[in-house]
Amino acid sequence: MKEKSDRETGPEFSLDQWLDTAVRGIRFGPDRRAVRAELYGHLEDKIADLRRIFPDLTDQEAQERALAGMGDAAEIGKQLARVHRPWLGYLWRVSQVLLALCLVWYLGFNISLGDDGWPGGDDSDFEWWDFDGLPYDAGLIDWYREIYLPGDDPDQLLTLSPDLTTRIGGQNVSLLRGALWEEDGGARVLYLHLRVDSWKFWELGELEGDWLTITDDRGNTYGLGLEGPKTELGGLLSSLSGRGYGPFHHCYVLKLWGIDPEAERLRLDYGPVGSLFSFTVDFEEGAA
Amino acid sequence: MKKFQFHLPRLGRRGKILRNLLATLLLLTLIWGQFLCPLFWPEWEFRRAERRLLLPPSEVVLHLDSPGGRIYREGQSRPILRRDHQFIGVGDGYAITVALKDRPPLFSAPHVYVETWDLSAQEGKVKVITTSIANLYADWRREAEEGFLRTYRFSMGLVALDLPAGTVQGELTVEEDGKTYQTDSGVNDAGVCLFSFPHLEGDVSFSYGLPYTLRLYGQDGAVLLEQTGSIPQSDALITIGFRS
Repeated sequence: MKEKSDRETGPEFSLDQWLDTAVRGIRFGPDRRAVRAELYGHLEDKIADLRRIFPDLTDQEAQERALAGMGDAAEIGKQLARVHRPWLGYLWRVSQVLLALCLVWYLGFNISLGDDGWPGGDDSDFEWWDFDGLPYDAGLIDWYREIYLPGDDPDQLLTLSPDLTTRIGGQNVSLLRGALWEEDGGARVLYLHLRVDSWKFWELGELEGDWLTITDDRGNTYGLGLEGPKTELGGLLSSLSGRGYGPFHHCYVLKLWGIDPEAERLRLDYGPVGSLFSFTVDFEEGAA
Repeated sequence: MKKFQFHLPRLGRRGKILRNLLATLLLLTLIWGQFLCPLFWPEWEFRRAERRLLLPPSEVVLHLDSPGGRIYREGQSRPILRRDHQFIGVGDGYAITVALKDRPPLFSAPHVYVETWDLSAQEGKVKVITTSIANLYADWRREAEEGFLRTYRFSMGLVALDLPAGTVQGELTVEEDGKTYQTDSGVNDAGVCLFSFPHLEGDVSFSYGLPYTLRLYGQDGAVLLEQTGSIPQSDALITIGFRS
């Protein structure tokens, strides 16, 4: 008859059996292995303590006493199974797989796109937020800082900080700054800094120049684009242009050429028909 | 001097699940943003176009869902199917047409073209707007030629709004270069007529200003209204979601 192996006949045999019985009810494999390893370590410590306190004990006796002190493996197994619910383990594993897949997809896709793969990419118009209330980020195109911020240039007639905001369709539309300049030849040019912002980045609003109606208190109407004033070569002098954008905002510069020197107020109405919103700019509130 | 050390809090199983799911959600949001935040249903795209233009929701009176063009890529015999959608909504004194072009069946944002019409500026009792019938948008594979040629084809559609009560049938006549084209249309559930002129191919803008005569008939075949005018042009053409 073949001799039984050491594992089946030795002291480890009953220890293994006890551990297997204790963790059998834990259905999530990684948990079962971790708990088994923990129990095994605990039993080993206990056996070592018994051997130290009672040097005369054999390995077999120390193990039997340690196991007896641990209690009934089947009962412990039931309690462990109750504590270690499998769905939590499976959910954890699923969350790991999902995260890994998304990481691989996002990083892989972006690396393949190069600069365009990241928010804003290499687009100089991109800014995370309009922190300075001016077109573009500071340091990128500082020309607009000279336009809007008070300076000592005699051609800067006045600067405005109307800081007007209206909420429409869940979006904020703001008229933040303005500046009136006098160009060579005496024409007055008004610059207005407009912003649309919303936390709903997927439906962030946009302004359309075609829907702007601009009038002053003297009855003048100011057209934009092709309907506005032009240079001798046909260049457009008045326009609404995007100047800086981010996931939660769009910034615009409204440039109006040929402002009536006698005008005291300017009204902006926006909408395809009628007015969705309007802003009034009071020149008397500005200060050069 | 004691060195400052920052330790992240040790998370339990539930905490790790929550952290992983939040990180996954963040990454999925970034990926969605990279694809220009496509929405699953075309109706949602239409509503989103309205919100992006700061418009209140309009009443959808027409939705044209084209069967889709087939786009062949070089070296591939299997076409990529795309669908185009046209929505027409009517708001307070205006109409809005939203065209979703090149909308693949799956995960990608369409090109969105919007036109608005000031209905209050039209003189006739029945308001008229144009739309391109986009179901002819397709790519045709030219076997005889090398490679593949993208061909865009549109036909002009004309939509009559604010029909008199009791209208069951409409008839539209358009004159172009001395020729007269006539077509008729029933009234849909939203109470509008869609007249299609497949023979007026090309960009819809070719049709602006053409004189038309509109006749609307009641149940008994009597003419309820006859209106003449010229095909109007939209007040604004807006392309959404493109940054130059």
